[in-house]
Amino acid sequence: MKDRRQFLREGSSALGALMTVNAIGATSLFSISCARREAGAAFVNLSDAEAADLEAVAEQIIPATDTPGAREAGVIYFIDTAVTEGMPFAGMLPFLKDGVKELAGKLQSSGSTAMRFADAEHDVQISLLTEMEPTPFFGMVSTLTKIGFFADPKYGGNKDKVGWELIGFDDRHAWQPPFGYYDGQLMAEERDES
Amino acid sequence: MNLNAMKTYQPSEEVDFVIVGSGAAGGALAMELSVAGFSVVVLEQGPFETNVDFGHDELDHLFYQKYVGGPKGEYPQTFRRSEDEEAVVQDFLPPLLYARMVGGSSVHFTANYWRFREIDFNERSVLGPIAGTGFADWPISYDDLEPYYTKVDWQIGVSGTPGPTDSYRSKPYPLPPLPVKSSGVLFDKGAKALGWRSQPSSMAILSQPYNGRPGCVHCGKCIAFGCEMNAKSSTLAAAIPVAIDSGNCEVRAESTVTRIETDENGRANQVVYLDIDGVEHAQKGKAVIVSANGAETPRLLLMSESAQHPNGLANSSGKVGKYLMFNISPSSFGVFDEPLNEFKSVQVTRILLDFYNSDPKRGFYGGGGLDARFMGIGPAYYSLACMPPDAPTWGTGYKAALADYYTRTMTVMGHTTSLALESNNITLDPTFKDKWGRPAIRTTYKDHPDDLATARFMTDRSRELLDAAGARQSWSDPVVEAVLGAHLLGTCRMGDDPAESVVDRYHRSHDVPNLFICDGSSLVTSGRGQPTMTIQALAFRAADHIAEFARQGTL
Repeated sequence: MKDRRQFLREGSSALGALMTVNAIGATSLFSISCARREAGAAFVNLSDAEAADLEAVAEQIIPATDTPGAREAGVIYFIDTAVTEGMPFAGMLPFLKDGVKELAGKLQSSGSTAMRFADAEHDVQISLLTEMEPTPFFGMVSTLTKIGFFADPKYGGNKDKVGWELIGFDDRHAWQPPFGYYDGQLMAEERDES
Repeated sequence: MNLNAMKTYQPSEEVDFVIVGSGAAGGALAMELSVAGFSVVVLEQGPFETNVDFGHDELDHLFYQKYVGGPKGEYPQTFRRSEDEEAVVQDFLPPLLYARMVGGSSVHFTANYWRFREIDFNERSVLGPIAGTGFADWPISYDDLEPYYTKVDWQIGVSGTPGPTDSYRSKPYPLPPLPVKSSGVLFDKGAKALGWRSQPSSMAILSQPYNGRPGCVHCGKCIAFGCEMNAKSSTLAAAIPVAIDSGNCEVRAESTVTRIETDENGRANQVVYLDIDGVEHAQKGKAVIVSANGAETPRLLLMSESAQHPNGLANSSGKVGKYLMFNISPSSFGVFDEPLNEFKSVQVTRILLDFYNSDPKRGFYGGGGLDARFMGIGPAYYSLACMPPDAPTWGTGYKAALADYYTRTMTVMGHTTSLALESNNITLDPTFKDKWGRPAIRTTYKDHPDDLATARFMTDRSRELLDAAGARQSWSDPVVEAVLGAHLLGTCRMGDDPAESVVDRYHRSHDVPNLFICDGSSLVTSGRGQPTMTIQALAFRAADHIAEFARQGTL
């Protein structure tokens, strides 16, 4: 718990200022978002167009490669639920909506034929997001994407544990040594010696 | 523990002891005094959760602060670096990190259980005063506390083995060390290469079944989480059940204490609290023990002012709330070629205490220890805060880095001294109140320059160790002034001089003969991190003496 100072300082002050917490409501409301993801249901706080744009941003933050990215992981369902009134990240919703509009505005000025961020070409998306990197909007989408990608699947993202599989995290409840390579090696050496 | 058979008392019944707080100290005191035959009511502001309520949900615990901050707005805390600044509400994270529940912070701690050493108790006599600070000797020595450290080992359940420079112990550890993790093997390798001496960690976690509790199953959801196995030796697992089963102890949870009252003879006679519905009650007692932690305890005393105690209860010295010490945790990260899988098992399996003592040749006061661990407490937190500073923060490069680094990373964390400064303190916020109407806790804190110098020194050692262990890449957290602390120490310090301390060497307040204070606030010096073991030993010792006073009729 003690070493979150770095996290605090680097861009989470916006996070901190806007997080409202209602732990009891959070869990039950979140478990619904997983069901909505499975059903492909409509969004609660975002229009379909806004959700498509935010999903496209999230997909650039954690893209599909040879393994799933944020879109396939269902991160947008996490985001939609997380910004519900009374929920922990509710204060971010206006920033997300404004940010989507700003992206559309920048898209227009860039001369791209796409009307919405979700439809823009990959290079154009990257260029716009690079421009938006210092903004609170980008920080928020980035944070929500990462949390949604790695939180328990019941919260809407990390579908089928793809986030955990990516990094090699296993949520088994119990382990026995050897835990990793180096203690495993030591164990083998000690066994050989005896 | 049979909660259905728990003894209950009416508030109007004058029990022998009313204890405020059920954490490392309060839980131990409740156990010892109720087993000794005294009637005890423990008032705990948080809920009574047990191991069946605990889970592994990172979002709940870390981001929604399930045990720690609580819902925004309900328990605001304010922070400022000095009196010259206005204190502002700090929500994520709050400046004072403690769990509000039966067992207190002992439910969610790392469980590093280092004893203090002889030098911690008389360091001022050895090194001389440090101008501009409240650097002072304790009124007791390691010898006085040693039997109680041993009680903690055997009654609470501590796993380990003596290290090369540890102080003497009267009994061995009851349990062998926990199995070493890859971070520990690498830590040993690096230490050996540098000619340093690492040792197995001393942990309040059962390495095997003990006292009717199962051993650790290495689930990895340890620090910040409650233990579903009851293998982590919180007072919730190890002391509260014993207290309740004695038949003499009631643990009254969801009871928010607002005031301690004294009678016309200046003796504490009842503790006023609000129940879960906000209805006020007052529990009568022959004596009161305050163990609410190093922030809540001074807040309560300051709130308990009266005509007899205009500066707050037990505060004739003016030191209630003063000398707040946090410790610092300077850290470095290292990435290795093969997977360590540090997400498994307990946080710490190796420590190193070669730099424990302050060395005047360094040019500053301070010392500390190092431990081998992993700060990626959960995958989401890892993805936000534990990557190398030069790694991409989004895109395909970021994703590849996540996949590469997560299982290959470890942390070496230092734990260093904090000097006692009167200007670092707990006071009542004049503006904000919590959901119960209590003045919010205001923290004023700015590290002494020597504390920061020590932290930088230990950051360098932690980095050195990782590189000597063969890290293919390493980086360090920058040392910056603290804005938060989980170790809440010093704010009602022990001492023989009533002008300079709040409690005497037996934790009896100088001002109120039947009011005792025993928790992190009692510490005179900060130690080298890991204060809970000492807090708990103090509680066992206090219980011994308090029971004797009660039997002699000298409370």
